[in-house]
Amino acid sequence: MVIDVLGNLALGFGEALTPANLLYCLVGSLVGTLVGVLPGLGPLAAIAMLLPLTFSLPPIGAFIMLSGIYYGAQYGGSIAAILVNIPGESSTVVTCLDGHPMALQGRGGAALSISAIGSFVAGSIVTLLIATMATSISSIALGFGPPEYFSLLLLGLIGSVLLASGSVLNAIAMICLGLLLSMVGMDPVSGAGRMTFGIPEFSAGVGLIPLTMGLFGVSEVLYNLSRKRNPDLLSYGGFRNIWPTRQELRSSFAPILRGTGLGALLGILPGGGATLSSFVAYGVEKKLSKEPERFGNGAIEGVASPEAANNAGAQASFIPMLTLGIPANAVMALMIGALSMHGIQTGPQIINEQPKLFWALVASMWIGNLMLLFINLPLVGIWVRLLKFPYHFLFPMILTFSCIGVYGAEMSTFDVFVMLAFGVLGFIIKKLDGEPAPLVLAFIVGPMIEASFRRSMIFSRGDMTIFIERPISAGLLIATAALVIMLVMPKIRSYRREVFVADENE
Amino acid sequence: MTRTPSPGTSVRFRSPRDAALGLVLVVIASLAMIAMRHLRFGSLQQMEAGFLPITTAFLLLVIGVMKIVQGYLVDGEPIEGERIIPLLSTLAGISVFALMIERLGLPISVIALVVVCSIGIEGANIRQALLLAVLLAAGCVGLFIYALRLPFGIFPW
Repeated sequence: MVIDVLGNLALGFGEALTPANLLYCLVGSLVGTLVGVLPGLGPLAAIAMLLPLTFSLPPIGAFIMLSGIYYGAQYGGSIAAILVNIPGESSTVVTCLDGHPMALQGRGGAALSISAIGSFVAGSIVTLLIATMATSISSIALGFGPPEYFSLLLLGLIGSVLLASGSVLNAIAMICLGLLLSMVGMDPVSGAGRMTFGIPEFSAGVGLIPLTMGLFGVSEVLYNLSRKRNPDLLSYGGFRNIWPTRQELRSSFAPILRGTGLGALLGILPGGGATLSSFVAYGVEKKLSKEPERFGNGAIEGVASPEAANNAGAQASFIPMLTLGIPANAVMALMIGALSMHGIQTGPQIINEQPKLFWALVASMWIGNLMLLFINLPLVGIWVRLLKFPYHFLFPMILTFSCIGVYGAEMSTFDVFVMLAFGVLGFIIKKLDGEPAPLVLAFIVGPMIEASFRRSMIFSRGDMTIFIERPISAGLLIATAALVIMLVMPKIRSYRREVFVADENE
Repeated sequence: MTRTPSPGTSVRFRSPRDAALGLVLVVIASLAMIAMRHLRFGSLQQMEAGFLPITTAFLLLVIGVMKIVQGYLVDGEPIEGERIIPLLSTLAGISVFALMIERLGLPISVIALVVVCSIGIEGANIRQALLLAVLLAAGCVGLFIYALRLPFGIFPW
């Protein structure tokens, strides 16, 4: 077992350490940090924008780069949160609470380095976790039939509701909308055109790239431009010394490990990931602390634990994606879409069929985290300057890259107009308190849900009880039901509200 | 969207955001159902192309109606929409790009996009926008055409 893991990791490092792959890893981490630092440009938009660029790369390189963007964005988000109190990323909202007060007290450097160290430790532990667990999870999943898959996907979709801010009903509406959009085009079984409105381009379905770029790139620009004042930055605390004191290191040690554990656990859960992990980790630290009143006034534990947790959660969410082909969140859904554009089908078979790809990715995660540790702290000055970059220069660049990316993917001007339409839809949804993330998640898993449901029904001749007769499927459905009950329970609802109020107060 | 006229009086929605979202959902669901009116539905034993999409659209319609009712009954926040011009210039810029890219090539389309979308934006002026446009166009030609070898035209001819 241990030998296996080591052998696999050796295979992975052998592949990940080629100069080309190291370069993709570096570029991904840097671009990720960049988008994480810049407000209003999340990892989803960045991955969607860079997706067309990766078509010319080999699949392994493309995947390494896209993953680098994802975890790089976590690091970048922390920088913006600590130094200027603006969470570049929703997962770093809680980092602001104690990170920024530390910066104001001149301890910004220490907060940054603790956050980088915490993220690195978390990343390393979770990488090992993936390496040891992946094979066994996949082998369980190899026995899954369509009913199990359907139940698992359902659990994932309901889980994503937990992530969406605001009302549960809105999130469910977004999921339905995403499912509906995924069914546009030719019916895979009969070939009949569905919801094509007589437009030939729609018979192949709505494109993933124009949809995500519209919903996350263009709509974000529209949203920011429509607000009265563009966010003005800078209450920059400054920092003289980036090294934490011995005392700070000592009091961060346990929080980092606790954050890692929580992040790993919550990241694997469907609907989990970085944001949920960091909120829970902060809550736990505050509960455990002997002096909870320090929290909010620059407690190092309040930085260390959520930062470790969001990185652990971000990486642990690769586990269900790589081993089961099920996305834990919208970013992972986009990864599945990206892989399928490279002709790679995710699922339990991927470890055996593409061992190189799989283990190279695992190895590159660790390498990427190491790179981030060393490039981030020295480059902090540059990142901070980027924060002052005026929005009226930034948004034309976002639009340009979105347009070229969408057009370049298929050489189709039709897709540019599709992006425009989804930009407007995303803008309207956001103005009315909807969230585009569950929509995209549902859009990507939609075809899988439809196929597994239809196959189950053919298998059972239309008998719905097949989903509860098979034990694994029944277990997953019970978990889904438990989630639904949790969502409507008053206590959880008020906790959710608390969490998302913090989100809005940015 | 805050009020819907009705004979004599006007109906007030206590939560315009929820009501408007409901309306959007109802419109989308209705459009989808109209588009699928000829699709065969089938049954659980024998599902046809329309089974799942029509069911989903129906569910969306129900949620939309629930949101409208919620907007009528429960207090909520108004819809904020302060500025229209930046939105229009963004949409115009993207459309201009889409219409130009095939005939006029990458650099001219990028310049047009940047200049058009900077119209009416606070803080932006035409000289800076032009400068940004030219720099960005040059950068894009370098990155997309020379480095990544995407098959874009550089010039109109």
